[in-house]
Amino acid sequence: MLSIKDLYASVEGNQILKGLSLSVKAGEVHAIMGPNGSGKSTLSKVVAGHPQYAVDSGSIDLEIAGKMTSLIGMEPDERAREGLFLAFQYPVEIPGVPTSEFLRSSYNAVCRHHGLEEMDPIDFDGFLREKMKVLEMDDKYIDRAVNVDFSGGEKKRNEILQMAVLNPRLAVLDETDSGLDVDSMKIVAHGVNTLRSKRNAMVVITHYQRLLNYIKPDIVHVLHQGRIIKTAGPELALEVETRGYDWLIK
Amino acid sequence: MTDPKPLTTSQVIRIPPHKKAGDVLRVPSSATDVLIHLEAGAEVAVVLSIAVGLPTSQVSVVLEDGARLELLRMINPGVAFACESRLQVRQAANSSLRSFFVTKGGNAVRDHVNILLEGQGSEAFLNGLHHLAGDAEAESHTLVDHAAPSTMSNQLYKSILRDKSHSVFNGKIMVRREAQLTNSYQLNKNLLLSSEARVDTKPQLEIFADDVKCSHGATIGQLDDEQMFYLQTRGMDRALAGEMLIHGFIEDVLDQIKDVRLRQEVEAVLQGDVGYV
Repeated sequence: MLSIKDLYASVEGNQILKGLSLSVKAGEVHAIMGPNGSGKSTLSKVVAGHPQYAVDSGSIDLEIAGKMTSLIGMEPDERAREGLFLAFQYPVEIPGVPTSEFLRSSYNAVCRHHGLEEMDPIDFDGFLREKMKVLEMDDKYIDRAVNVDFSGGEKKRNEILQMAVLNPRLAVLDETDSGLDVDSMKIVAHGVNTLRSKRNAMVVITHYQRLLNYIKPDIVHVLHQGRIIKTAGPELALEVETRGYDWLIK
Repeated sequence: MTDPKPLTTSQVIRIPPHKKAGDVLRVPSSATDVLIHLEAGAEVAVVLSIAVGLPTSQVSVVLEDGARLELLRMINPGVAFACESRLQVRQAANSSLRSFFVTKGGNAVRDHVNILLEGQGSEAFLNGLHHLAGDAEAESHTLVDHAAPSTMSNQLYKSILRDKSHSVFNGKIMVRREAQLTNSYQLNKNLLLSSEARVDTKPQLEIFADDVKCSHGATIGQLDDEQMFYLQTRGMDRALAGEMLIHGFIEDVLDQIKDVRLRQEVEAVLQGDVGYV
């Protein structure tokens, strides 16, 4: 599904990723853990195609229509329409744009690309409410402007709702647990677990093991200084929880 | 070729006391000199389209006690020469004005708005939208004169500027000594969509009373990169994402139009350049 090989990437001239490799198959959930400054958020931005992040060398390939295809040079919106989703650590506020309208435009952009029928506001409203019910989410904020005056928890839940609407094949969740209380985290985790399937894959980036009590990963990686220094099963997350990162770094 | 007939005509709209006109009144586009007089307690919504062929448009408004007017003035797309428009308003006690000025196109448009709040408790909402492309220029000059106590004014003017277009906002609030307990706000926001577009903005306050609340400000910005990236990661291409952000930018101005029919009229004019797919 996703193959990253020997990736070097920079932001504003500072090289952050230094030889990162990662391979994710359909049906898998990977957790990427690491101390602050290890390159976790850079990885998510580079994969999504943020214009300020430059790939210096290496490759990022996503399976598109059954074929591994390079994402480098592809616009963020093309990547999204091909089934890549990034849940933001800090979801962006869009004043003046109602959440429901934003979600519908997003959904229809993906549908158009795949030659599927677009939805009008009435049908989409029904579709959206159904998704929110499955995710056990409150519908009070869908008429408000995107992320404006949302609490931290509402913003993160909104990210998961977007993921449910777009139904991506590969989702990257960038520190979705940061700033969440336990109740919000359970709702977010429930959403993620509901969307998990044999046909999609997820990369969960997190600083803490906490979220992984609710979202069980198949594979855990530790990122340090821009590369993956350890890969193991879910037990690695627990070990990091009790022992910290120092034993891995030394 | 024969000379065209003179287009200048005068038009008087008078609404009797306490009459609440249900229909939107449309001023014929041939009228260049309009008087709108609302007697005490009258209410009406008026649309005035400033059409091709008219170099000037003068609108005078008198609002008697408790009268309420919502007025939309639009410079029609395709006005291909200089155009000067003027709105002059006198407001008695507890009267309310909601004014909306929109220009889309027009080579050189200059609009003057003069509001005299001479009755206690009167209020004026002044809103404007300059939506410009090519080498179009639009100027809005406003003067709000608070001459009575407990008066309120709120100005929100926004510009969307493409290509080499140029927008000017020159707004002045005057609060006289007797106009205690006045609230007055003024904001001009500009969105530059081209490196060659220009803005001149000059919000001004002149306050002689001591118990007032006033604020004014101006911003000039471009489409936000992080907002653009966010929308792109949701599958929208740059063109669609840009439209969405522009629509978001003007949403609060459009929200100032309380009459749904007037709002639809403005949205129809903006359609094609701004709006969701």
